[in-house]
Amino acid sequence: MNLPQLLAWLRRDPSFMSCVTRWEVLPAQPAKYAPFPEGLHPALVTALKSRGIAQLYTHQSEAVAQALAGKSTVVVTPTASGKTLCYNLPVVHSILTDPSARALYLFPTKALAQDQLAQVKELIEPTGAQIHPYVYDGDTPANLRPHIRQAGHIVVTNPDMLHTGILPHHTRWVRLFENLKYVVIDELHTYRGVFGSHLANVLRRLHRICRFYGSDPQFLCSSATIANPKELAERLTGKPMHLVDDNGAPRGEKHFIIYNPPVVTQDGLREPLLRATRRIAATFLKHDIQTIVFARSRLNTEVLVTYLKEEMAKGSRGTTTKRAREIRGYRGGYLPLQRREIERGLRDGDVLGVVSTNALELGIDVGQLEACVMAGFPGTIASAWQQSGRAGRRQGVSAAVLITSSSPLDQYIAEHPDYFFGRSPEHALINPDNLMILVSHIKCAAFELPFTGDEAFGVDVAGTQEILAYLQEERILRYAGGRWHWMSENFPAEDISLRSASSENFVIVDTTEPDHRVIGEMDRLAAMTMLHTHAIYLHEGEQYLVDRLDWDERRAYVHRVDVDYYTDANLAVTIRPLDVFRSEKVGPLERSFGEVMTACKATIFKKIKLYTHENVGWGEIHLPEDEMHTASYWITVPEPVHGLFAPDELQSALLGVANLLESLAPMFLMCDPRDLLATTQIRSPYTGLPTIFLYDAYPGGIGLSDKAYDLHEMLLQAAFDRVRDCVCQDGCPACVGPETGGKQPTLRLLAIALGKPESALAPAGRVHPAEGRRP
Amino acid sequence: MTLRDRLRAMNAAGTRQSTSRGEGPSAAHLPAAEDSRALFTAIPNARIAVTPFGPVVSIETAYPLAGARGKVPLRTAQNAPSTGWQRLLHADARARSFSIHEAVFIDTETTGLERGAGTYAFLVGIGRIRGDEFRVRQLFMRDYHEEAALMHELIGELQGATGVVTFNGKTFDWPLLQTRAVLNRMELPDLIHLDVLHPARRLWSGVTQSCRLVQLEQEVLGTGRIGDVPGELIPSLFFQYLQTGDIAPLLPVFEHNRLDIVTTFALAGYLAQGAAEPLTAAPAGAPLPGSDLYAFGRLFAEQGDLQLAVDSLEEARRRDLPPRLLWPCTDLLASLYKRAGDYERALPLWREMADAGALVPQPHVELAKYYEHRRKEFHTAREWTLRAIDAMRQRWLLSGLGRAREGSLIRRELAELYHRLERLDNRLARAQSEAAEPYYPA
Repeated sequence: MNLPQLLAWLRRDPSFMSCVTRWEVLPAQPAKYAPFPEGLHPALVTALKSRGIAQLYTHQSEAVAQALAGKSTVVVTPTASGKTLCYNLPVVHSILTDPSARALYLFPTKALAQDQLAQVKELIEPTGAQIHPYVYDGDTPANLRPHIRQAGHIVVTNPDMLHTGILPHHTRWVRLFENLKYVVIDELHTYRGVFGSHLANVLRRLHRICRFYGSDPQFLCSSATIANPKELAERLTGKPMHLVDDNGAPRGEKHFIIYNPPVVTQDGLREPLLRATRRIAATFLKHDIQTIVFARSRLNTEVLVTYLKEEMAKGSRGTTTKRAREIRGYRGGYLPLQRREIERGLRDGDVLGVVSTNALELGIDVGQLEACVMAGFPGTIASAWQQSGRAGRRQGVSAAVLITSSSPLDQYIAEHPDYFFGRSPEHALINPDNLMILVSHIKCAAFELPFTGDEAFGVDVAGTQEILAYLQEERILRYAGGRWHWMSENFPAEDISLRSASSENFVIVDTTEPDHRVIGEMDRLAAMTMLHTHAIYLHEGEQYLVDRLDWDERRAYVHRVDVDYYTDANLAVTIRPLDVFRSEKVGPLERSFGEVMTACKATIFKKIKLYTHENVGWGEIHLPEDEMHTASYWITVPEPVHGLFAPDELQSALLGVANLLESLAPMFLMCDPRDLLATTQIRSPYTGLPTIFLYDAYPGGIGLSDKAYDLHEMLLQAAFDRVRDCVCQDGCPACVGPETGGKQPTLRLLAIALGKPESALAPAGRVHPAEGRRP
Repeated sequence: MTLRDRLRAMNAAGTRQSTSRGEGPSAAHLPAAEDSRALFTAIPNARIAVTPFGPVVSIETAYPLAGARGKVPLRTAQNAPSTGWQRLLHADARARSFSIHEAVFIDTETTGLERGAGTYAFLVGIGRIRGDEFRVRQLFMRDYHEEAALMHELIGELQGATGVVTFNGKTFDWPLLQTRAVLNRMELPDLIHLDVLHPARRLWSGVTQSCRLVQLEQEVLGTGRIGDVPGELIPSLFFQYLQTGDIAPLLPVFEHNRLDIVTTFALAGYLAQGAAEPLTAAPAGAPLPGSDLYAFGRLFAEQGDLQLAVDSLEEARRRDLPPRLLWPCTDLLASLYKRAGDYERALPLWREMADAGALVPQPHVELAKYYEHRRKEFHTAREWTLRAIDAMRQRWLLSGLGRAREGSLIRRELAELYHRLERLDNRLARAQSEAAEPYYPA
């Protein structure tokens, strides 16, 4: 059967259809063309025509015209719509016109940089011009680097290399910075949260250096679909942006199916995610339909590869076939050559099925596949569209199946497909002025060029000067002759990682063999519960026992073991508001936003037997308390409301709401689920009332809880819908969390909060706030 | 919370943030530059140089050329023939225009050992020959804002220079000064650069304990320093001076900088003298040791001056060459003779090596080749081939049979030797059968 036949067959299969909560057919769309923008260099037009491109899609034409008119642009279009021409054309045009012009390309990963280098070379070649693009990253051989610094017209790199390898050494890049015409930022949507906040500051440093050398580059950005591409691009680059989002590329008919695996036990448990994924992916593969499967973790990727190889090895009537080799895995950690081979196999059709982490979600060219199966909601709607875009041809039918897991977020999507198919509500949030991030980059900037006494960096002049004065107090800077100079032997960029929340990652050292080796890294908070002494640490399917955690040296020493238990640590969290920025009564509850101090302490750990989950022992953890100063949004429950609950019920309701907010909020805020944490206090020492906190898991906050405060009612509504619609009786991990019994109290509390008519309470207006609890 | 409170709270929560939590007056920022009477008292020859960019401190110290640094008279550099400098600068196309009389010796003291735009050169020493003296002029910025004046003055010193001589300056001092120039919107002239570290490594790597300047000073010049500052402390001494205004702890740094330049001057003289007249030179009061001659011989061989190379290597063998160097020296010498077609002289050297060190197969191989191709004495060639195989096998055993990289190289060479053996056996067999055939006189 071909894909349309298979889809028709699935539509008639009642057991399949009983799990489908939405089958959306997106109609085919014809191409919309526009002529080449006026003034585009004739050599480029000829080169494009020689490749069979006689005209541009509308979005390409608009983007190029705007760039040529001197505007910074952000192009928002789906996968495979020819977005690279949107920036490659203006860049090559400018170098053809003025050979001294330079461009800097930023891609979030090294693999993408290599891929894009090939594409720009393809465009340059037929023009016959002497234009030299190079990748400059950690893998660039040292003997090539001086040449690239001098002669590279287009330097393709990543933010980390710009941060540590280029900006601090700008005096060796005089040619580039004096003539920098364009900065290209692809995959803009990946720069959100901590990473985006860092990048915004790296770009502020870039601006300072460009100003020093007298250049003022335009920014050409491209992004997957998010709610606020223009705002994100403007906050990242500090430049006004022209938004191009009218996609002119053609698209074939696309079927998007949301599949919620069947309930298989009495207490409402669904079929395990990986089993359902195996079943559905195999259906496509067995009909020779080229399919990409996205898994959410490296471990799941490996497990699914094994499953699907097994499936494909099974021939008819129990024979074995050699088709298992047509199934491949793809994830970070594979060697570059192996990855290139798999990418090529996908384009050539030698690879029938690939199981990938989100590594293949970004724009690496693997051609266009027919079907995409997502093992679980990838966390954000933008990601889901990106992944589904991997299946989808310019002509012909394609299919994407989203298989939902039993997490609250996945179940919410399964039950509210309208939300999914409506206009993406996700905002990519960054907070470039997060104090910790800002100060880190002010240090780097001061290393690069002395600050003047009236200079501003990100924040206003007064704020900047205050921070500089503070750094002088810390004896890192010195004010002399009206400027702030770097006064330290250290190289500040090296101590600051753009990607992780904390620059102080713990290194995991495997001591099993006489040659010790580093097998991984982990941030401080996770280290407390996963790398404490005597923890069992799981890495690539292997078990390791932590012999010792050296807290001061940030090292965990482990060795390989084979045991039948795992460990689970308790983390005691206390939270204390320091300052309230915003506060408001909403219905009978009150929402607040402000600064908090959190303190985490790992207390004990339990040893839990595999499979049976019996508790087979415990131990104490001796680690210092970890304090963090961050931003939080919190909800307080005033007396008239909490008086309606028995103490047990109240506790369950608070935990239930906290669990729901922590799971659901990342989708609305477009953040990594680990970026937000929730905790509750039955009687907060600060408010004197039952309180639910949702806070940024990064010192200083990155704007997530701030936004959550704005989305208060939307979040509570989503939480309410999730609990109400959950198939469980008494509460389950898919709604209120692992402890049962919380469903009814949680639902009641949410109903009251939202003023639902079925609640037996008085309307919101009659509830008086308790007094004397404001600071 | 005020911004300052938040900054402090952030630092407290972020544990190991800054290592230097200041005690004493916070943000203490003594105006070091404005009140530097102490400096002029402590350094009597310090003066103010006034530039369009403001003042900078300048300290001049003269070393009579009649003096010496350890065993090396300071005249050595002055008297070294220009061929010596050209040989040391062989890689530079402009070597011919270099003259020691218009060259400047440069050494910097910096605020860090990292490269990058945030590392400053707070003290730059410039040495040059002036009449009967070697003069070192040191430019010192009392605070960051005197950098532009320092750079301006430095560039003035470089005007008219034919070359710059440093120790490790190609990788460190010069690029750093270039960075400082760019940041001050100035430009350094493009000069021929002799980095003494490079020839020093050729001569003394493996001979002296290390090729650090102070080590060479001890072992080559035969002198040392008392109360020298360790280089890694220098940045913090400068920072301390900036904060306290107290010049005393910084005084040894000035001396350190001067001695580095004078030592570089003496070493450069030693090297240039040696390179010019290797057989007769005695820059440190005695003829060059064998190890120096061997290194020069290698240098000349690479530069294509084969006769001088052969002479130096022959002489090296006659002087006290350490056993470790005797072998490579002889090997190089034999190969130079072979290249010149002078088998008369190569042969005894190969024999000598073959007799001395059974484990190294090369001389055996060379002898086998010689007897096979030159002399057509296949029996003797076969004999040397067998000995080469023997040596090679022993070496393989010693290196541990499994060691992949070295092992595979040895295996390949062994295969070649077996191939040679087979060819020789064939030739011998053919010769025998030819000999067995009836003999028809012409």
